[in-house]
Amino acid sequence: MKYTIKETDNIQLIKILDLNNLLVDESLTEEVTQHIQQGNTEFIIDLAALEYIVSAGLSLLISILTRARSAGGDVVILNISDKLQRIFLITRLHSTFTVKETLEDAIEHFAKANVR
Amino acid sequence: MITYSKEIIVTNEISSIEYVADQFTAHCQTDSIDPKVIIKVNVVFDELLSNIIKYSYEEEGAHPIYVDFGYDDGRLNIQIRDKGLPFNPFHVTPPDFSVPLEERTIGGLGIYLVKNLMDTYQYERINQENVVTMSKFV
Repeated sequence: MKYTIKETDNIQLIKILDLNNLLVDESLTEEVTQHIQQGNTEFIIDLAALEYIVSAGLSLLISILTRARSAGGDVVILNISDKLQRIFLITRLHSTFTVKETLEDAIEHFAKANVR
Repeated sequence: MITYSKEIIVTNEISSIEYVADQFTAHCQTDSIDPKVIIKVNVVFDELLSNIIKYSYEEEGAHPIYVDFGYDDGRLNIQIRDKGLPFNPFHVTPPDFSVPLEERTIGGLGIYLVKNLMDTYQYERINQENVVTMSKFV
């Protein structure tokens, strides 16, 4: 599994580059857990590099979402292709995740949430 | 009688998933199959092979998984066989989407995907083998 994490406007921007070896690679889950323990509970997950996603990948996204929301934060999914959109629709996860098309929209989502 | 133009034998290790996907993709490209269909079927391979690798064999060591596929008269035919514990993946309880996400069990999501991505699917136990036969119209 390959990914990058960088911080922007106090939000952790995760770019997932591939989801290979998810059966044995828990590095992203561990890193997200560390961030949440440090009080960083808002995540944007950019899926632009993914051609497809399997259930293990969906489970990873669900795991990050539930951890973030349990800590009072949230997750926004960014750059979801039509192919991935279909998988999200089939598994009815499209209504579970907040999905945005641009980074600016994703950041604005958190800005509005923090104002409320 | 379904015939398959390609047979691959792999072992129950994670690297086999990528190998099967590569072989399938290369084979489909020679038949000019729609790349969207190839991606969907590769999701199906990932789900079913992951299950076999994780759960099918109790004894440690390398065990075979047989993967056959072929394109015939507008449909892709796929068969996956293993000699592990009897297991019908299509009897797995699907996820309960009415339950809040935090309370939902993750299991069953992969098989739910397989059922939605393929047009036909069936499981049989033949000669002490789990035999999963599927097709997709293209």
